[in-house]
Amino acid sequence: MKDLYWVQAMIETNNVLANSEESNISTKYEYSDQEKVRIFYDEFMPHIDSMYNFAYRLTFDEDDSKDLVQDTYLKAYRFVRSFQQGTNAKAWLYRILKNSFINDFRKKSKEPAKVDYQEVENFYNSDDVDDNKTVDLRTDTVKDMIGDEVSNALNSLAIDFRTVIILCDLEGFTYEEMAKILDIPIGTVRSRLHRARNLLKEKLKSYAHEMGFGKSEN
Amino acid sequence: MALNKDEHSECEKFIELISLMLDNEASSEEEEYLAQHVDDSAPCLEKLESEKEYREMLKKKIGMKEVPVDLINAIKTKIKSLV
Repeated sequence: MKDLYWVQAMIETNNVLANSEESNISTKYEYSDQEKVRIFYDEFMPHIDSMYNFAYRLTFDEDDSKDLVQDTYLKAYRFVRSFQQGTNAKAWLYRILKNSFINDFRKKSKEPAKVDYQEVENFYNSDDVDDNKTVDLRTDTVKDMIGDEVSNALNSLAIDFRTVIILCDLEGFTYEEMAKILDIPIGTVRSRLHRARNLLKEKLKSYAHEMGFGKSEN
Repeated sequence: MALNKDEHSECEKFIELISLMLDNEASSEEEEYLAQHVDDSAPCLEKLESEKEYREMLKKKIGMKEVPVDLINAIKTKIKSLV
């Protein structure tokens, strides 16, 4: 059964990568088996901590995160010839993981609650923010907030908004790297990030208000 | 801090620049331009501090989960079988 899944995953990998940037350069770099293994262990594996955390913040489930990360690493090994050694392995891996999640993983999800929840969030997040304004947080609003509340606020954002916050504010990717990972123009990265931060700050303010601190904030 | 209309229009153009600078996306000229303005503008200084605090708070409050050892082992085993 596992082997069948593996074959299926590889067929889907071909489909996913066929429409992506990687396919254009998929035979560009020739590596011996020894070099492939070295690249895998020296350049890909050091990023497994942040890859796992990225997967967890997308799926909210430990088993799903493990499947997604394993799938990503196996695809990375299989398509290592599209990676130029010494370049930005982390961004390349993030791109594969993000594509796997969007194109493959979410389609297979049979859990209706997740889908319904996401749809509600998409709707909510689309209509409640003025793009021209910037939301500010007062120091006393956030200083008493605990990690769970901040995580919950982040996790409640729609996937597109959550992703740019993770990539920029937590992982420190540049706008250019984010544009490549997400397949969107840099201008869209900037506007999406601005909107995502406003949404997150609004949610943090709501949490703070419910908890009884930062009450003076409007 | 509430801004009056003139202050708001004057400072509005710097708000995006503050984000760019903190994201390490501003040029050195832009950073210098912003630094000069912030010296004379309490609202923009406050905005800059607020944005710094937001970023520091996120990194501090959102912890990293530890990667399960069985995941690392499973990946290594799969790779060995492919070599």
